[in-house]
Amino acid sequence: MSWSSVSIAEIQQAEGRGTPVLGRLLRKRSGAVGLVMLIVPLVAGLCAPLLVRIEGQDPNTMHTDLLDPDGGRPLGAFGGVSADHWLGVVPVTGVDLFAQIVYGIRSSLFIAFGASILSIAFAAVLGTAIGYFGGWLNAVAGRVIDFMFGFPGLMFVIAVMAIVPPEMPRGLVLVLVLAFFGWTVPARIIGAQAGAVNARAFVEAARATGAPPWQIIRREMLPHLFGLVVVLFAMSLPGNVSVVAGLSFLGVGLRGDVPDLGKLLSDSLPWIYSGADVWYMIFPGAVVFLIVFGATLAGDALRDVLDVRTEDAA
Amino acid sequence: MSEPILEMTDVSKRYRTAGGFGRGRKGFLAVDGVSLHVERGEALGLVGESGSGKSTLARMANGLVVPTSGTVRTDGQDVARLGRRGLRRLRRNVAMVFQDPLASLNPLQTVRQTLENVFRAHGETTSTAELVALLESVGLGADYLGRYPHEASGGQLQRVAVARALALKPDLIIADEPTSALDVSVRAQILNLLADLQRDQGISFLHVSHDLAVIRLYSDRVAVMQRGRIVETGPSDEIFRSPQHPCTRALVEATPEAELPA
Ligand SMILES: Nc1ncnc2c1ncn2[C@@H]1O[C@H](COP(=O)(O)OP(=O)(O)OP(=O)(O)O)[C@@H](O)[C@H]1O
Ligand SMILES: [Mg+2]
Repeated sequence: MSWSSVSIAEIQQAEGRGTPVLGRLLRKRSGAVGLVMLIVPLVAGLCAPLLVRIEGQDPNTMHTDLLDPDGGRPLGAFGGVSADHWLGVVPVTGVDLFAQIVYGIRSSLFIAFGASILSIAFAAVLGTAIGYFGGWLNAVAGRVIDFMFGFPGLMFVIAVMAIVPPEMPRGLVLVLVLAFFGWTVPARIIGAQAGAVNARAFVEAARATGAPPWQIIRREMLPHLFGLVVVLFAMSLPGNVSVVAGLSFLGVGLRGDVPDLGKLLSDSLPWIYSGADVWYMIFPGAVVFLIVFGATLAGDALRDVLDVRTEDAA
Repeated sequence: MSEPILEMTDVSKRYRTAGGFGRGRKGFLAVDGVSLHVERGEALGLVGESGSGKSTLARMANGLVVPTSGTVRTDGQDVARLGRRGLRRLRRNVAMVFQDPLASLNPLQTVRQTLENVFRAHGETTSTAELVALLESVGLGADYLGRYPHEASGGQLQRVAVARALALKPDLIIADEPTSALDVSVRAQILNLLADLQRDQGISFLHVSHDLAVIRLYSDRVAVMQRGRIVETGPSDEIFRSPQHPCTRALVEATPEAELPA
């Protein structure tokens, strides 16, 4: 009897309701560290209004009394860190930096999550269809994806964001544009995996019982693709967080008055060049680093725990 | 005499081979103008060396493989003329058992889920009592309902696969080398189970094997395949006693009496 047709991971997944994935993820050091690095800023972003209330501040009040009248540099050490202002204040305007950062996490992550959910959901539907129907759908989708690869996506995103009419909601446009460029690689990976599942004997056996297509997709194929979809989602998050930050950094991200991590970084540039207030960059920079690095670590660990392969098989 | 449960007339299958020029572009002719029939209640054995097209031919009976030419009539219907729904209805009456039981059962489904899905495929529900009865008919206890495939042996899994085939009370079972992945010790058990089904329930069988000894004991008639064609047919005993075609002779010589299952 050969057991090669079933992987250890599938046996674990079958028994998996006993050992939850989260437990196995946390037992891996990189998984636990990554998850904490991701979740702390995430919770901070979600609870932004509450945290800022606890701090006793708001994101808009200008505390000009805390600034050096000559040049607008925050007074005191670490960019004006104090019991009232946990991460100091922003130079020139004097608004609370902690409030700016937690609200900034909120908008950045909201957009990154939105874009990842949209692109991976589309990739999952298309990839499953490619794997099940194969044939011309596979050929057409493959050509479209090749075309998208040859397309200077980031340039296009920057160009689109630069010409978005002011009356359109920039956040929504950003989500759509990022999702538009984010589905291709995941769709190809899911498509290849779905094709492999579709070729397995138990799918043919289900077909031989007269099972309709939807039942085969839903009961036979999707459970074997679920782990891959989750991992691809986790892996697409950090990329979207950095692109959102990058776009705001370039001044084509969110609207000027919406707090945003990339915009904080961009605004902090002159202060770091002159060395007048390095903390203005270090605090938001550290948060971006935490989110991106944490999401990457957690995504990789999740991939190992679920034992899914994410190399582009086509 | 009533119409055969399965009647294939001059069927061929040419597989398209990927990206070929010259010879390859024509594809590969896996089945080449084959005619055969299975009478109701009969077990027809299909033997032949590896790659001779047995699995391809067997899969044309329930539309899993679409013939390039020729007609297949199964259960009184022209398979090529059945639409999607018609084909699904046909598969109610024509079940299949595969070679590797572990591969042909979804590793993420319990035996209960696997069996329930067969009823679900045809918009039916079933009771636990029915499922238990189904398992008992293949010699398994009710405790197997909650098991995953990796929690049972090959022989037990093949019994589950037979239960899945029996679930909708088929008229014909296509068994594609149902014992060749199993330990020698459990082969006879599975073969006896299938033989009982033929005798007690009147189910017809198309039994694919590369082992003539198995076919001789468990089939009424034999068809011998070589390179996509049927080279010899006849009653099992006769074929075994006086093989006419060189290919059949080679198969007979390759099955020493000592290895015959009891
Ligand atoms: N989907 C396919 N595409 C291309 N060629 C195929 C395909 N399926 C089978 N073939 C080829 O057709 C021929 C017959 O295959 P088939 O599986 O029917 O033989 P078989 O008699 O069942 O062999 P075995 O005893 O090894 O199971 C083989 O040469 C095989 O390589
Ligand atoms: Mg075969």
